[in-house]
Amino acid sequence: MSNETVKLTKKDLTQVLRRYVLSRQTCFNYETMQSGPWVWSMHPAMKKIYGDDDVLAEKYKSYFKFFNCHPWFGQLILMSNLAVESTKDENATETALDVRTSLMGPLAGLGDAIVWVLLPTVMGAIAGYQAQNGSIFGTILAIAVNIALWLVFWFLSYPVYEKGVSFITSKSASLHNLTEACSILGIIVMGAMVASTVNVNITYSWTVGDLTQNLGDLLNSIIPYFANVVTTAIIYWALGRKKMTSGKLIWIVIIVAIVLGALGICG
Amino acid sequence: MFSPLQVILLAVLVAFWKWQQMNLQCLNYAAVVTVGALTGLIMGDFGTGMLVGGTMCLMSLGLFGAGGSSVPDYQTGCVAGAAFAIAMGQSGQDAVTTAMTIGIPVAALGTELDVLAKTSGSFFIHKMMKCSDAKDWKGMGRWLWLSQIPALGVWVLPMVLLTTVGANYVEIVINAIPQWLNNGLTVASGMLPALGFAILLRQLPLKKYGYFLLFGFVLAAYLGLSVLAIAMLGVVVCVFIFQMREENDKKAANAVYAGGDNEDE
Repeated sequence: MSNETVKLTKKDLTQVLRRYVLSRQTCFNYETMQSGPWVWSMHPAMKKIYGDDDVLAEKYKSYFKFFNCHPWFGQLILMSNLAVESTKDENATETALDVRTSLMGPLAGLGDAIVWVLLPTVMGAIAGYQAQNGSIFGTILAIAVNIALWLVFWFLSYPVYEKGVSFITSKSASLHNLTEACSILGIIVMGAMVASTVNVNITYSWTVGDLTQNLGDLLNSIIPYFANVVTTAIIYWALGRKKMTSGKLIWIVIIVAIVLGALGICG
Repeated sequence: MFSPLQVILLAVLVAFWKWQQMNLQCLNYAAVVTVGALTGLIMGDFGTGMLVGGTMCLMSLGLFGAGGSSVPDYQTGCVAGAAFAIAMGQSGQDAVTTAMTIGIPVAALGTELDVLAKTSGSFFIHKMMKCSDAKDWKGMGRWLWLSQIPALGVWVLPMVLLTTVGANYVEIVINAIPQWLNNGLTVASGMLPALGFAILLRQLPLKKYGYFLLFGFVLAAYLGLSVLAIAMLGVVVCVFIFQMREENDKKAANAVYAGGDNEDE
């Protein structure tokens, strides 16, 4: 095997990227998660680099091992791995897999926090309210933000290949700081949404003489959106219990809501 | 209740939607509104589709399955809910109530369907590995895409059953639902966002930074700011903290470098 570096052209990279964005979580399974589409996507580039099918089959054994990351960052890691493989170094695959394994955790955390949690939650809240009032504008805005960010990741993929792993690893301390800062943004927005989006009204009231006192109003005069806060706190606590899953909890919430509604405590 | 064309279009919508949600991921923000509006277009009432989508979108905020875990799926729930509400000729609040009666159980069932879809992947990944060992690259790609048949099928099949043989039963059930149950579902729609937020809060470093919850809450509850305004303020805090941490890192790095020659402390 010659050790000459094989430089992939922009066209080669585009081919890999196109395969990856169309398939990146197909064949998802609990054993290796996202490794199937990874191998299928990298194949045209690997074929160009190594040419020899026997070598490829051997290398893919390693690449088929567990991989799971935020899909958009996964595409950047794939590019960095191709950069390593391009050197055709003896230990290229080993190095590439080290990079893949060490990056997938932190980048998944960052991607999930910003791309899947923060932005969709904020954009979804805006779009949801506007849609309820008959305007599709918020939804179009949300889609525009989604596609803009998607394109950033697409075009970022090329320099990641050019500059290799160092492009990501040199920023790993900054990435950690960014994740931390963004998680604070997430917490602030969550605090706000407990008041604005959760909607639990206590309708229970009693009459003393001529005076009708509503329990909800009474509690809200102590802390605004009292019922929202308590509901969120209870669900948060319940989620932390052993053997509790979101799948079970959604049924519990529905049943509790129906009972409270039927008893006239909430409405 | 549904024309054959509508049944087919709804099935295609669900299949396309699950694929794009997992892979292409260009329509994942405010996805429930978008899919609701598309359902509205198929059923011939865009406005009602959007209204149902908006309501269910707010219920779904924060729901996110980290690391391959499964959460309730409001996107499919919204398709089923909006389709039935419009097919029954409803609009406005009636449509929302009907849509939730169907959509919330479908969304909850989605947690199970998602597990089923991901379990089916094991068979196909081993087929792919075998093809790779045999250097059959075409076969590897074929098995990759064949995995989409069960992965999308588990969503399409229930939808087709619901809109064909199930349609009349669903209508009977909807019409038989007593007022108290409708009230309960309205209460549930207000409570369910809390589930999404709780899931999210479980993933955020609440032990360390939990007090920032108070900051957001005060801005919304006492000052009445909108979510967008609070998010912008949040960005200010976020950037400030990021800069501070970056500077601290730099200082720490310099300190280590400068302190290099007297390590006898």
